[in-house]
Amino acid sequence: MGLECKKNGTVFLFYLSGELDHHSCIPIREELDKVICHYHVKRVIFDFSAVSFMDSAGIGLLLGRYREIAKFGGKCVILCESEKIKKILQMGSVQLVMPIVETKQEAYEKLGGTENGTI
Amino acid sequence: MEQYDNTMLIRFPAKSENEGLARVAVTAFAAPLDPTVSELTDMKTAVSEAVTNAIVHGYAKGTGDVEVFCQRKEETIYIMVSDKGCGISDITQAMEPLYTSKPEQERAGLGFTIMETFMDSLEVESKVGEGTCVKMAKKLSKLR
Ligand SMILES: Nc1ncnc2c1ncn2[C@@H]1O[C@H](COP(=O)(O)OP(=O)(O)O)[C@@H](O)[C@H]1O
Ligand SMILES: [Mg+2]
Repeated sequence: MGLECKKNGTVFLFYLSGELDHHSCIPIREELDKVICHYHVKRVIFDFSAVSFMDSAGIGLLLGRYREIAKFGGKCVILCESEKIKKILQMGSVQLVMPIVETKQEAYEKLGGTENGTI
Repeated sequence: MEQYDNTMLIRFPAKSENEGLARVAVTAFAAPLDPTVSELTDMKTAVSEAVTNAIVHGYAKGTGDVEVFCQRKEETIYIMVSDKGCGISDITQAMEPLYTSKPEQERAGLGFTIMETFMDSLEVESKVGEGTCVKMAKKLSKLR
């Protein structure tokens, strides 16, 4: 399981990869909270393109980070194509607070910008 | 005595790194039936939820072993995940969607709901102070 953080303008991209379960969520949560808190992250794309497996631990991870980001009035988007992962996220009503989209372009649009000319 | 085509028993200590091990073992056990990717993901997700529950809830205080017992009969895979942990006092409440006894740990309260949705059947037996056994089954599609 991996995490890579990138910044494009004011948008933070959090690339997750591998298997996302209770075990792998522990270090990822710690790392994300550090970045979110340090940079007062306000616009986030959680990129699930390289996540091969996720169980309900992923719901807790996302909703927990959303709560942190929403404290600074921030917004999050989930980029995910996998039907299984989407189904699990929807069981947790994640889509009610963060839109789930299938392309990077849609993700930037939801945050009010574009990939090449972010806000 | 019912005859199974194959069985597998794995036992490991309640360490979170073993959640992945349990998923891999069940995947390998089901492989001879040539399940679809979707069926495999369903079983992996259900096992992951049950094993995580044994580790984080069953053995929340203290340690112990988790057992995953798999049986195969024709196209059906039976999976049993058991612990000798704290047990569940109110199974009906525990199985309600979104119920969690540990909201402060960012648990979604959807483990049992996912097991129910992704498998064909789910049965939970538990005794306070003795442990919990989760029994699930999934019939794989024959047309592949
Ligand atoms: N093996 C177990 N031993 C003890 N309690 C359990 C076990 N499995 C589940 N539970 C109880 O059932 C509740 C619901 O489980 P679940 O649906 O997986 O949600 P979550 O794990 O997110 O809390 C748990 O919060 C816990 O109180
Ligand atoms: Mg659970």
